[in-house]
Amino acid sequence: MATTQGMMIQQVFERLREVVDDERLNIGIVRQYLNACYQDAYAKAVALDPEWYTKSFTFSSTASLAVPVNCYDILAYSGTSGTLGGARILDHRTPERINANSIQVGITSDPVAVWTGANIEHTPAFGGVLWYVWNFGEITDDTTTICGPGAGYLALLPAVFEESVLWDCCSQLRMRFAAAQDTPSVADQGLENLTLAMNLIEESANPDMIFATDVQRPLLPPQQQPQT
Amino acid sequence: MTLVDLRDRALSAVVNMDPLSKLPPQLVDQFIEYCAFWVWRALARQNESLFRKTVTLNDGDPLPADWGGFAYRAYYIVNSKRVPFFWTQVQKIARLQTSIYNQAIGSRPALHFAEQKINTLPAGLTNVVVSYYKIPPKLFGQADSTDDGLTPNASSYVWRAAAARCMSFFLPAKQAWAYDEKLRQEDSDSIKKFYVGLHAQNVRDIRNIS
Repeated sequence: MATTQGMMIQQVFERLREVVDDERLNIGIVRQYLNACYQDAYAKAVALDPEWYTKSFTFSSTASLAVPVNCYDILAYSGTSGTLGGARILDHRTPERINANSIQVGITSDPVAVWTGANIEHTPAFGGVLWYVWNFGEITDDTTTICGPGAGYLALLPAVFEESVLWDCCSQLRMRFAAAQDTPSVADQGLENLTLAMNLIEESANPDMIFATDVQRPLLPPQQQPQT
Repeated sequence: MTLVDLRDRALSAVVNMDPLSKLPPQLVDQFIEYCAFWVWRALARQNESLFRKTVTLNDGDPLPADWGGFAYRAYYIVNSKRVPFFWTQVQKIARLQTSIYNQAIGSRPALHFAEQKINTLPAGLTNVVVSYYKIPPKLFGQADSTDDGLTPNASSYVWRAAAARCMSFFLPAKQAWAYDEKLRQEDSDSIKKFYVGLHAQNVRDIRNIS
């Protein structure tokens, strides 16, 4: 059931037979457009089904936690059993204001966390589980699971988005290749002229057919001419 | 209806536009599969009980391969009685673990589906019967006898939509692009309505219970 990147590329080529002349030459541009379409679909999917993109990250007691690389936004903390209700996640301007306030400052049973760039600072140090919304970058291999429901792997998009992504990608690529055919670039024209010239040179070097008028001298020395 | 039935009907509809039938059957199968998905979303919004299914899972198990969405019913057995789960957001997990007033315990457990898995509160509960909406099987690349998993009355919508998509292949480039764009918009709207419909169903169910 799982759809991989390779299967997505195959399906795009299947639908663009009329416009894409060389699949091996154009696999890169297809991959590029597909990745753009994944991100468009991610924006919709994360709004419609946020739970699909919820991940947990368990960590031991620390004052500064490195944010996981695929973290898009922090949802919640589930602290160790002593901490009441996990941690408060502060707006990044707030910690200085509450630091001096003995009522509001983070304490062991009620810690605070603030996201500062690549790290999350904890006051005081605590351990637990971080819950966050994950996202993904460019997919360049052909094995990553793109669409599908669970079943032991993590799919980038719910299965209902597969069709949407393919239509999106195909309509954009169709436009792109149609434009390339109608208005060839200077490089394309140059390559075409070069091909013509090389064909002519090859033709003159290895002529397919020899006519009597082309022959300036006998092909073989006279003594070896067959006797008739 | 099986894949070969749908393919025959779709190709019969297209044959006037392409008498030599140059369309590869794989392409038709792709369109049939996606149209089945599209029709499934519409049907699931109209009558979600058609696609309800149950599976028995333990805490930490991945979702089944035909998972379409949670059907807002889950229970497990304690003292030979069914104890229902309530669904919760991850934002509430910490409170449910520590609050003395609203703590998730064995007789009042919670569940959520983070990491595309089932997760229970308290952790480690087993043999949880989870209701969910199953998605239709994959048809592209499958045997001709594969069933589309929809109700019999839905088949005509599937092959007609597939035929329409095949016909867009014979339109001039600009027209085909406009048509694709229209279909894409419809598809996007359909996905949105599906999720919004699931949520509305959940809200209705909760109101009916409480």
